[in-house]
Amino acid sequence: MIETIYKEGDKLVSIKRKITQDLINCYANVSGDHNPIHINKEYAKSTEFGARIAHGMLNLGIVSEMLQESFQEDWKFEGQIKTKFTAPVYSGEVISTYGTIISVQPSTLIPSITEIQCSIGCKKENGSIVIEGSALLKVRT
Amino acid sequence: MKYSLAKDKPGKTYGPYQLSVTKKQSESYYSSLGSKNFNSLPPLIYVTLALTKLINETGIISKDLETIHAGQEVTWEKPMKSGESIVAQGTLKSNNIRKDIRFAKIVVIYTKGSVQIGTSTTSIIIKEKND
Repeated sequence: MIETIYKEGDKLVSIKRKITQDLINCYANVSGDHNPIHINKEYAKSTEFGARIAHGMLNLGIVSEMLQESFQEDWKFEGQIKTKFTAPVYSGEVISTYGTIISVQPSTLIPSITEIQCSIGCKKENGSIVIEGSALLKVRT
Repeated sequence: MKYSLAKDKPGKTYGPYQLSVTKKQSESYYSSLGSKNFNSLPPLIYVTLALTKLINETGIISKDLETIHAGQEVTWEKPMKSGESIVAQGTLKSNNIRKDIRFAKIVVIYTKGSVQIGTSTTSIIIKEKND
């Protein structure tokens, strides 16, 4: 087994953040995604959600930030994220990211690369999950 | 009003989109996540920019539609740096209607020069509000 500083069962650095409407508006401007369900209060009321919700990619960006905080430079080189957006995050709600290293194994193709598999996600304060999925990191040793 | 994705068949391509991210844009992206860590360029920023261009080309954001981003996969094979020119090309992988709700999946391939550096798969659910 290749030695790494990462171990199975390690918890990733959790990030807790309040998703304010200002943040959603800012994300809409930066991304160019002005879907009214995110930014138009009256329109959002008419949808099945009943109120403005954050962009899924905003929430996923915070999950990605968790991975970056946890793995630093190792995160940027090669990897994979697979996620489902399982519930909306309403303007003003607080979310927390979570993640655990599930396995640390040498790559079957390139032994100098260690593959780190993680379960990742994001939940609200009431415990409901808004993102769930997995991440695969390929670390050069 | 019909949006173009409503009539697109699997195999339909979107783009190519020329993407480049300046250091300032990268910092704006981090700020928009509420983050204060401006030290690196996350691969997701390119996916975000490509997704916006896909949204515009397919016409899936309008007040007549409820468009939900249901899932996202991202794979990258090289680090991405500020100022690099990256080309994104989308392909419609599936586009089905079940109980008046459209389920579509679009795959985007990212290349730098002639080298593929990543892919993303976006799952979208669309409900028409006024038929």
